[in-house]
Amino acid sequence: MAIQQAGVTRSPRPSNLAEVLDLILDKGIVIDAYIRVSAVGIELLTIDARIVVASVDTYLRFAEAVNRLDLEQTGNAMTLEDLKNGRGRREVAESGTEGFLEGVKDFVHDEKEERTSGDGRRGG
Amino acid sequence: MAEGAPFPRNGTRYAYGVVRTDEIDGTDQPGVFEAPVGLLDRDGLAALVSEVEGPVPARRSDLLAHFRVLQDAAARGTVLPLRFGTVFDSDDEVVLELLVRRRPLLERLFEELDGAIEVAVRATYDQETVMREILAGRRDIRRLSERTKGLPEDATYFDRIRLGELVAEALAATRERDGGEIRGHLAPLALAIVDGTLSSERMAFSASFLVARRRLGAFEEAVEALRRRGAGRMEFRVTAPLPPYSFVSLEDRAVSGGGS
Repeated sequence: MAIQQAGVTRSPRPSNLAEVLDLILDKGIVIDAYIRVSAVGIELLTIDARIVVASVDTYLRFAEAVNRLDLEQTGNAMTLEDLKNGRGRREVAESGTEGFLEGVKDFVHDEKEERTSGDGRRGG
Repeated sequence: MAEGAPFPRNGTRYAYGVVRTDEIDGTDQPGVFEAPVGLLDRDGLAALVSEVEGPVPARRSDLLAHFRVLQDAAARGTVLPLRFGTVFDSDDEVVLELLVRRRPLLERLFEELDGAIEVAVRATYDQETVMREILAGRRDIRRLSERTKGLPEDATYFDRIRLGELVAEALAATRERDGGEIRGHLAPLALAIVDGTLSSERMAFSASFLVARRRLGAFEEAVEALRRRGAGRMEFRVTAPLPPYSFVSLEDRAVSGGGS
């Protein structure tokens, strides 16, 4: 079967494993009785990678992030439209999904891993 | 047993996924523990398996091996991936439990997923840009920020919690809006969509799309357009083509209604 490869197609490389780790661990056909992963139970391995919501820590972090901004720069009420049209555009460093990758790194390398629990799930 | 599969008979079998024997007859990709991967087949369907001793740890190398074996298969045909860590006690068990007992499910999945692959689309916000956006749009948030800035933390504790709560709500609303727009652009080119998990506050969007192989180019162009529009505000990451991990569980799927 010929696969169409358009110019912008990105083939997965090993470095993208972190990006799709949740698919390998949480998805796929499950035959419960035959899942055998050693050292930790499958529950711990399920990347329960959810946004920590409704927690005081999160709110304080947001408050800090907002308060760090220089309001004068924002005072001229830059709108979403402005940003879309290129006003205020800035270089974005390759930051990645920090929380997720950090979680993955810890999870993959540690023998013991505490389950990260979250309350609720936000839709994309 | 497929010819040329150089692995010992009747050991404990790690199973990666199921393929159709007229499409895929083997793989050179090494499996978990660098063991060779072969096929166990029954009536046109085959399980990709390798020998393992006991349960499989989830080290990076093991996860990578699982991933790569499936990637290799997906490059050549439709493969139904199994969840990581599926181990059977013998060849017979693989065939009976998987290829015989679950055959109706497998056949149905092959029918539905033939010629299609999964595309994982993730987007992250530039936090500063989005925070500024939120501030610009909300006087109440600006006021509360002004009130709490530069004052001692214990004096402003509850105000800052309130501020953070408002920002969190505004961020959620932003995500909803952006998510709707992204879906609006991509859904017409997909057969189905499954929401992914948002694993950090920074994430703007996460979903898996089931896309017909012949539409993958058009789909990726649509993502490129979103990428250009979102430059400076949102960063997109696309991983494709993938085996249809998200679409082999019949419960989760939401049919998008377009793009076949």
